[in-house]
Amino acid sequence: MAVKFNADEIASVIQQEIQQFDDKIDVREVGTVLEVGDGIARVHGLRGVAAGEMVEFPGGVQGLAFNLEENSVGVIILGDYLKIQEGDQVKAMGQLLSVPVGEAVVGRVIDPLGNPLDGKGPVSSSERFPVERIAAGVAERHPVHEPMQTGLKAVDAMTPIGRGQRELIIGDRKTGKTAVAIDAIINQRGKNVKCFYVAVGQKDSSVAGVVSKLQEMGAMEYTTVIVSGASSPAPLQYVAPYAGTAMAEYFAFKGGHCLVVYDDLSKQAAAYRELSLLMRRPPGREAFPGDVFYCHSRLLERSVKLSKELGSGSITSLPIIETLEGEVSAYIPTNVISITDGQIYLQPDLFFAGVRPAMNAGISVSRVGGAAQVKAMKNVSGSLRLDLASFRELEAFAQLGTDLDPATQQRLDRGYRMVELLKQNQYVPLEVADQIMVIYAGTKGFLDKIPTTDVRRWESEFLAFVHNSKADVYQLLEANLNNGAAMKDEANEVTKAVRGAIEEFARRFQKSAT
Amino acid sequence: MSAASFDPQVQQIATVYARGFLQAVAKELPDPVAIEAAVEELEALAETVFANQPQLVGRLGGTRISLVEKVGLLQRVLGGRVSGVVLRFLGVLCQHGRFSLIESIAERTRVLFNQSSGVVPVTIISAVELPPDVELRVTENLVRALGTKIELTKSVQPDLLGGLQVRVGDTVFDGSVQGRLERVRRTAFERAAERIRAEFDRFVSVQ
Repeated sequence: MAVKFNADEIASVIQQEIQQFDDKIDVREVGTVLEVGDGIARVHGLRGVAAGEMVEFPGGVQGLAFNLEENSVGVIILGDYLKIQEGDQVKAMGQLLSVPVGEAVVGRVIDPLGNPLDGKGPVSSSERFPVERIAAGVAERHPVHEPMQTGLKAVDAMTPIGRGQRELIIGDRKTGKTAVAIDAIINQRGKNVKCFYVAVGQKDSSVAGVVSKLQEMGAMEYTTVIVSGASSPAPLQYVAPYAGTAMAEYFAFKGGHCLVVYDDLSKQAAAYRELSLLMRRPPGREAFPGDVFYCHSRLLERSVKLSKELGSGSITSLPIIETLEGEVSAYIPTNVISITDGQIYLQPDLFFAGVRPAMNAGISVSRVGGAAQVKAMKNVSGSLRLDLASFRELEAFAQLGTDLDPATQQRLDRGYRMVELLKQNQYVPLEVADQIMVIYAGTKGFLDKIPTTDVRRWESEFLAFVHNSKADVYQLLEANLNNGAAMKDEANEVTKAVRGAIEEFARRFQKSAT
Repeated sequence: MSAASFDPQVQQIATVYARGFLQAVAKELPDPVAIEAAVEELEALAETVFANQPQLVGRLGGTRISLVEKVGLLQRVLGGRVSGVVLRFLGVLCQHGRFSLIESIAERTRVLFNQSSGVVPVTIISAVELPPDVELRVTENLVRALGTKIELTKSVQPDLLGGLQVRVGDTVFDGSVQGRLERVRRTAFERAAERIRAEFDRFVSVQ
């Protein structure tokens, strides 16, 4: 099969365009490059340029007016700065930096300026949104009230996330931060949520891995991946999260729901620090500029649950922060913790002990998600977080002594089983009804007689049993997810049905031979 | 102004001295013509005398000789040949160790003086040398359009191919053939690409 371009047709179109070309004198503000290097340029002239305005260097390389000084303008270069020379003329474009938005970006892998990186041709969209936009105000918002299910038992039960919330994923390197976010994206399949994965300063190989996994799981159909990898210049890494948010805003303002993952904001802060130091802005703590807090707060403030008048759209964000040696009191982690509505704290020792997701239940919180959690889940997991946290303390204490009273021993046994139950494999998000049933079984002590090593087998076999033989129970629970009495009152028909299914399965479950 | 010699920090310092000089002159000489004469005097000194005497500037700007000797040297060389206020200003520069910036200071003085008296710097760039009558017409039109006096600089750049580029301050009005060709190229390319994407089957046949 050969593809043949119709040269005559193309030539005739070009000819028509030239004939219709209506030229006016081009009026532009200009300046001259004084010095250039490391992704920034200092320009003399451009007297009327606005902060954040786009400028153009010869050869079409774009830049952003970043520092307006008395005698010069500091420009960050969004492209190849090696082609720019001292003395080159710089033109002000008279517009702010914008990116293509709309359905055309969905399913694509693009750079922060909207240029394709997936070899599928240009992103053809007639609409563009400014990269920087002031977040919606108080009157334009609605309190968070709908759930954004991540499909992870530990997260959905203990730190529920609502649509429009900002939930930080924080932890050391190699603790499964990206895995939590990717599972959340995979779980949005069929839920009419557009996902945006913004990779900042990542290895291109890791991003390629994420993209191929998303493709394999069918998640690329509703996901956009915005990449400015470790080899991209700092200005692009700095702009990427804002560009991703602008693309999400398009859908949110049309009443849609979006999930944005910023992976990760520590690298973006480092890129911003690099730019600021090159621009000779005064360094502050850890050499970050004074406005690094604003850099993150204005980004995350754009995550929103819009009011009914504005269409009830939402942008939920999952920013990721990498800590060093568990140091959450470093500058950027404390900043982002204080900006977000809660955090999922992932711990290396849990990760290496096989608890995955390695969420520390004690210090992970969700400040607004409780209002968004489905009622049935709230009823089964109400005290789970505190119980698990106290189990951890008890566990540490129990290692010291030998004799334990039966009540304490029983609490420990329950705790071990709950920890086992909350483990979950990567790329297998669970529906919320499934989560509710297994957590109910755990918290009500149905697993107390099951050996710890059998708990995960029990879970998968139980879920298969419910789906195959008890579809009516599953449907009843799904229909009553927001029924306040479901899974709370023992006399409630939903609770009874689930209980019945668990008891029936318990009778046929075969313990492993020891 | 060449980009290579431009240093924002030097410009900042030069602006401070230029402003000081203009204020001192205005206090002493209330007549605008006399002020312009003083500005011209400073410019002429910087461009003709000091630019050709790097050794002299080096001495006056350096620390080898004392301030008294520097002032004495200025007095001996320029005394009676330049106006008192200019000579005193040169003394102040020596005193503050800024004599080496004399060229930039003179340049900034001219720019600030032009700004305060409403003279706009205009550069006309053409592909070939303009005939005098065309130049006159362009200048007259510019003065009428801008409504101010202008300080005209001409420059010839053969790559423009034809037409004119007029630069007023930092704003460029581009009516050159090169600029128009570039704009035609860009628009035709963008629009054609847009249409090819919209009606892909019309332009590509698969065999």
